[in-house]
Amino acid sequence: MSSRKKTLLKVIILGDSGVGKTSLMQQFVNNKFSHQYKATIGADFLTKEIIIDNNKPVTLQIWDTAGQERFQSLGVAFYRGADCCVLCFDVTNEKSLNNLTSWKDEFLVQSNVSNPQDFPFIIIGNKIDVDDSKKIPSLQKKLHNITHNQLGGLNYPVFETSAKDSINVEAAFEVIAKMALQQEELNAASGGDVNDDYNDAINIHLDGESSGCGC
Amino acid sequence: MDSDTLGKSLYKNEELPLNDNIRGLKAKAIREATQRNTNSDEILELLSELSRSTDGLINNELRSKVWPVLLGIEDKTKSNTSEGSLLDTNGGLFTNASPFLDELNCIDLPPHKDEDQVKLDIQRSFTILNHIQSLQHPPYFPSENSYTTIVSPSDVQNLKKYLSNLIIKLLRKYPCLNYYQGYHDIASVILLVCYIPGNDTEDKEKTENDNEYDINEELAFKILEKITLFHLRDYMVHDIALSIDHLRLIPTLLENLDIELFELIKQTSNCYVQSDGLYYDYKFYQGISSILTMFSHDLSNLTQILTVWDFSLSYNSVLINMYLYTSALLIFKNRIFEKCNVEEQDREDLDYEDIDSDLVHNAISPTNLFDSLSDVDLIKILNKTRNIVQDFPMDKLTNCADTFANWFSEYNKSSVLLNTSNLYIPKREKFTKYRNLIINTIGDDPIELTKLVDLQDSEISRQTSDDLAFQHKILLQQEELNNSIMTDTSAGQSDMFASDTNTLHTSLSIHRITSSMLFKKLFSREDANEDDKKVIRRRKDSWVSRNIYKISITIGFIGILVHFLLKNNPQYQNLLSKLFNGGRNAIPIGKLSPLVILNYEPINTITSELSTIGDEIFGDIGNAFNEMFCFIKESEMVNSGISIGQVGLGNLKNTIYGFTT
Repeated sequence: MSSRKKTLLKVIILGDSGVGKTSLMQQFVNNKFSHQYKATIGADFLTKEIIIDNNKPVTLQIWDTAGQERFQSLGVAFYRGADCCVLCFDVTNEKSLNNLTSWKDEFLVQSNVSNPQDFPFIIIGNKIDVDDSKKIPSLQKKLHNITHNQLGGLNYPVFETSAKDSINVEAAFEVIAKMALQQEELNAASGGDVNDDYNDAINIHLDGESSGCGC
Repeated sequence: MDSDTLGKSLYKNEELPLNDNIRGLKAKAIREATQRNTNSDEILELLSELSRSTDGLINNELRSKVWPVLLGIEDKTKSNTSEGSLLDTNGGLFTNASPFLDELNCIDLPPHKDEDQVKLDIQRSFTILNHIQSLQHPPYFPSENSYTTIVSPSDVQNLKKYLSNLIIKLLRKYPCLNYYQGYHDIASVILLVCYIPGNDTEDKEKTENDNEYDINEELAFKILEKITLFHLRDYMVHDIALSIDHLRLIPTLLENLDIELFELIKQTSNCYVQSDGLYYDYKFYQGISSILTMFSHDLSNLTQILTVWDFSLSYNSVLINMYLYTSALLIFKNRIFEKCNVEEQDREDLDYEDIDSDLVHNAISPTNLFDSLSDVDLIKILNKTRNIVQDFPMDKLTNCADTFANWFSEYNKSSVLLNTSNLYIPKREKFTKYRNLIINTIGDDPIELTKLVDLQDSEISRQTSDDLAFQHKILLQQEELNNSIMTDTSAGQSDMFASDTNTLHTSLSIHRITSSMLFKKLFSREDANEDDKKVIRRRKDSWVSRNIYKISITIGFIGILVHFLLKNNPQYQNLLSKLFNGGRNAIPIGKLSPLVILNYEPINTITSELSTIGDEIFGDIGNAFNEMFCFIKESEMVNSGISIGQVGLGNLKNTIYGFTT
């Protein structure tokens, strides 16, 4: 049996280096912002309890990851059992927007989720506090193109945030929590409290056991 | 000279940082040593010893003298890499990067592919200077400790320019290297050590353009160059898997040092969990930031970072960092187990299966490990490191053949651990043997290094593809297992008992096949370079297991016979249900974790009850059955530590144990 409680939701934040993944997590969890966050190497998580939907308390376990491409292959160690994936880009950095697709693909390859077709992703464009002149020109159109073409035509929720000024961060994570909860419930319904290969492997034995005690 | 006599004993305070007096003496001893002939082995060893004893090299003035000696940096006359002033104090950090690259003499060189990443990381560098408390140096050397004056925001901006110069210059000089996040932490530590106090005044901030403080950039570059090419090279090849190979040595050490921690850490491995404990790949991702940055990313106190670097550089091998991380895990063992909520009993029983692997991840991560690390703790960690590096050399580890020897001697022969950063060959030998890696003129083609890195790339990609193939095989075998069991359970529904027994049997036997295939696969590689002694031992083992195998087949056969004969006997059905209800705990044997404490009681019960029924109805078979058990009881199997109840599972268990030990 998984030791994870059902109300623990695992969220992975991905995106290019410097888009503000650590800042988003820190703003949400600790309500603070600093220009001095160290570059993230490897991956680490923070947890926060929030109340969503009908007074349902959930614990969000938010994983902050390294942005440099070099570290991507490590994801396989951290993405296991994720309930929601946040794809981040920097509204002043077009490359980070264009890379969303590859982050999504990489996540699906490495996390080995049971429902890649409808696994919950959410897109966050961070740094909206920056001067308009520095933002990606015709961002909405480009974003639309990306969400409607490259990402398999799926319409993921998009939030534009500022981790610095705490704009929309709370709202984005509330949606993240709801989506993650749905995913968790879906998994609970389809295969006990498990959602990935590793737990399936354990289930085999549980199967043998449960039919064994049916007599 | 008193430096010699003081060197060995006085500065090795077991528990506490040195007091002011002894610090003063130690600084004097270090200074005197640097004034002697640093080319002699004797002085090199003395300086190494002074660096790794308590409080390291005391201050940065001494560090900037001793580190080059420890690294074997040749004291040549100035090369043309250092012409002109490299400091540009005009304008912002990146908007006019080209002017300083002009002065760097490397503007003609094509930009390195990773320069964008460097820029991003430099924006986030020197965060450590915010920890002003770590910069307020002890009062004993006021004249030598003047960082406190360089923490104004504009000073940090200046340092960032220096840092950018330093890293970009190195990358352009050696384009075959790949930059990684964390390398900027390495470079910034070096930069701080090469800071020259100058004639500081109170109003430095106003007069920053007058260059009142300076950084010995030439020295900083030479130190960075040497550390990079000789020690961090493995982390800068294309594939990060080679860095992971270094990290794998941490659990490798733990397996020899502390089985409880080792088993705990296993729980964070996908591979281990997915293969139901059959295969553990030793991949230890948690320590990556510490290893890649020589702890400078994870320690929040600059003085502690510098002490760790003194210690680490004195060994002239990055392997020491693996020992150091292992020591930290050992020192904080209790705290780690507390964080993971492991109960005392479970901890002793090595029963960690129900532990949340994310909790373990957190507990063994550097953020937790080094959070608010006290100076006393650091001293303990360093002393522990000294001890284990001496007592547990890599090539003497019991698991060496499957680990270090396999990953490095077999696959990555060109790794720094086997040449430039080899802990086990004399420093001087390394300095001279590999000096051609470093080129003197910027812009020249670094042929030697490029060749070496190319070779390393091909070595690690061979390992990566072999590993992938191996993992794929495991997955396939598990899938096979899935399928066969599914078929079994769906087909056998009509006869419940039969199908249950079948499922159990099948799952066990398939596991046996899987595990022995894995076993073979793993050991075939090891067999190649294993010594004769081991082969003999294995032969003995296989004799035992062959015999168990015969016996278990016999018992299995008799069991099946009895089962079919008794199928409709109510007493027997009662017995069976007892087995399957009572034996529920025993069934997870199928999970094949060698840690599971098998519960044999139901099996023992059934054997006795079975023989009773057997006596009643089939006296002869029953007698034979009992005799068989008696025979086994008296036979060698018992002597070799296998209890009677295990016999049916003996082969399986033997395989598993053989597999893990």
